[in-house]
Amino acid sequence: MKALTIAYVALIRLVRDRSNIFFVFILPIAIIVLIGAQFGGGFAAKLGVVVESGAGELGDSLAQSLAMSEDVEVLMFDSEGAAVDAVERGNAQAAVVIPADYDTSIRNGEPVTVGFYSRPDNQVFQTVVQSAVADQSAVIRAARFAVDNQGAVFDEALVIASNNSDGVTGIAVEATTIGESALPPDIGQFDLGASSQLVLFMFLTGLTGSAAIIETRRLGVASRMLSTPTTAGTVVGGEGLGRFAVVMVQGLYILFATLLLFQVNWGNPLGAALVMIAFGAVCAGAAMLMGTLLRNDEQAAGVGVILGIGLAALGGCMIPLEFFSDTMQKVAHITPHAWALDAFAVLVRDDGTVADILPELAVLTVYAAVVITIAGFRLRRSMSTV
Amino acid sequence: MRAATLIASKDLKLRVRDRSAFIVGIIAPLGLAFIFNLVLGGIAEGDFVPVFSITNLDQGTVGEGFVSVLDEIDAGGVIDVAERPGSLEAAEQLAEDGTVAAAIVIPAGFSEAVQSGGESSVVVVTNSDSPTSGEIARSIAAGFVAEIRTAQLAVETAAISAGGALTPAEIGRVAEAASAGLPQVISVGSFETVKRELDLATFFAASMSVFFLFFTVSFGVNGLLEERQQGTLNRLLGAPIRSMSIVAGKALVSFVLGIVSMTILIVASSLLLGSNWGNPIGVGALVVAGVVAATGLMMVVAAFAKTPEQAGNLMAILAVGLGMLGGIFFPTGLGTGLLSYLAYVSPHRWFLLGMTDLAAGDAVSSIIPAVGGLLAFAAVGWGIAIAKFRSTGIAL
Repeated sequence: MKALTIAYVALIRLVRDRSNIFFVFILPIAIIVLIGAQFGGGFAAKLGVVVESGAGELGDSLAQSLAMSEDVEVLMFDSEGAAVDAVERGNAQAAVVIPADYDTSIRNGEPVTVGFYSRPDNQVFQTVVQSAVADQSAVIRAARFAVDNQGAVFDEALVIASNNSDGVTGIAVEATTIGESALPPDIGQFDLGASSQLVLFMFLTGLTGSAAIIETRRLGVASRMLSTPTTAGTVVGGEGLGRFAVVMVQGLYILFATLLLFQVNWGNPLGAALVMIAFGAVCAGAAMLMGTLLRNDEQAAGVGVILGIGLAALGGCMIPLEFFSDTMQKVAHITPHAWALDAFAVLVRDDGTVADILPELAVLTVYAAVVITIAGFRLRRSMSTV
Repeated sequence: MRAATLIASKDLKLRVRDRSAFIVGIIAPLGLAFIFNLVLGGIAEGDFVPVFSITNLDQGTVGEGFVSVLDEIDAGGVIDVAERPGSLEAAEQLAEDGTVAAAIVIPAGFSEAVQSGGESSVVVVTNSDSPTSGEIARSIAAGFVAEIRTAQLAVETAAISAGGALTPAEIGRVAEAASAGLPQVISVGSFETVKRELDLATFFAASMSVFFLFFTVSFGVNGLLEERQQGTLNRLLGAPIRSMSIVAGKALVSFVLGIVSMTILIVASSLLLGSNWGNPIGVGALVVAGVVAATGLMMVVAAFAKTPEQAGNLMAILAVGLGMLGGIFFPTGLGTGLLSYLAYVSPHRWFLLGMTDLAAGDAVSSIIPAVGGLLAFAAVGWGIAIAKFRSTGIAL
């Protein structure tokens, strides 16, 4: 009971500290929104397209045919300069400029050049543009051929060619995709960021919150608690529970906020709850351990940020684990983050149940048990020292 | 001025003894840059050259023609035709394994189908982990098929234009003319642009350095609030020095901490991570402008905050918020949306833009906009802070 009271105080302190409103409640959601806005379309290649004014109907239709593909995202730019700048800075893989005289030149049978801009290390998108151009120019080239070869009138030949263009051939491309995709196409816009930010922030908030344990010692609160008829075990248990409560508030907040705001899919609810509890216990243990190892709250904030962000990056919270090399995947699984993310991936992408995530849960539980045991032991010894 | 330097040297001594400035100013940025580099180093570098396989089961000239088109693109270094499996099954296996991003198969009887107007399809099997490469493979196949379709359409259009009066022999001649080459109408003119992007080792060193710079300089200006809380500020004000000297002293601490930590980070990241910071004069200008801007923005917080804790929290929020917006952790300013313009509200963004221009090998003068942007933040920050200090004094 006393342990619960100590834990409750930890929660009160979390909410009373006004900067936490930003770091615990606003920042994670802002990041998920930003990531969703930037990468929500998946990691599709981006093709900058400029349709100069006057490029006409044919220019628009070329731009549309470039935008047809699911795997190439078209970004429209107002000027050649802006599009080229985007290519130079890597914001787009390539850019296409459809010139102002595009429509008139083609209709007059004059040759026209579509500008294609790419960096020396990424020239392959020219094939995409050439394919779209080949498709569009089929009718025009057929008509011009009829003019050259049979002396036909261009406008009449154009009508004939376009009337016949659909039924002309049985030759096609048959495209299939095989293999299990690392990132399924039906993944929601905010799904990718949500679970990784949940894991990142639970750990980060846990660690930066370890300053509270240091404060408890420095201000003599711990000594005073110990002078009451309260055992050291109860105080340590209460502090641990307090860290756990703080971490879970962070986790549950992100879970429900993303669920309600962005309809993020978290998979099997019981499974998600168990992953959060197991990972939350790891975070609480890590926070307790840090609280015993460092001397002042400024150090705790600094070290907390390094470890919180560093381990998260290593564990796959910044770039999905699927993109890691084989060696780095192994290294990543030193962190509890990677195991938690694996568990969420099974729950969300494979519609897994609790049975499917037992290995991940087991690893996280062992992690938690080890860290909490060490931390509890140290905390008990250091409680009354400053 | 002597008073300012005296105050600054006292504060600097304090910061050297208190290890937190080292953690925030040097260890954190260097450590995180190292981790990011480690995690991402193997992922995004190198030229993008999709790997394909080609299987030609066709006996005729059309299939051969397609293979030679692929080989030509391969010779240009744009794609890599790495495998030539002998059957559809073998090709599919390669794509499934991920040995190739896409397997292209020309079926048996393809040429005949083309020549007789029959039906046939170029098969493209792509691996789902390589959507972009798959799209390239589909495009190349589609481009080739479009060429065939165009030839067929040309013959048909020519025949109809002639009023359907052509004999089979004449049609054969038209077809020959069509296969010899169709008039080109639209060509694609290819231009190479420069690469205006930092390599990962440099990007993370630069982004982490400027991100933590804002925390590092906050130690200096926050000293003002600490003196106020400890009551030593009133004693300083009682001394025969101008109050602005005290502010200048604190700003000097920020400036020295910022410049020193950035210099250490630049040298250390160059040696340890292989970061390439570019022209020293340009980098120097960016660093000085960045430190002045960071100090100015943090001074605004110091001017309005009531306690050092409150100031510390607000400074952290400002540093994290602006850093995030400026593309420290993941790229912002992409595309043409509102968010892409919002990124310019961040000094971090201007710093990184300047770094990028230097890395592209532009003249040192190319960083003038970036330095100007940073100095604008500095001017706004310092302007507001000084106005506030002038109107209410620094003691509160």
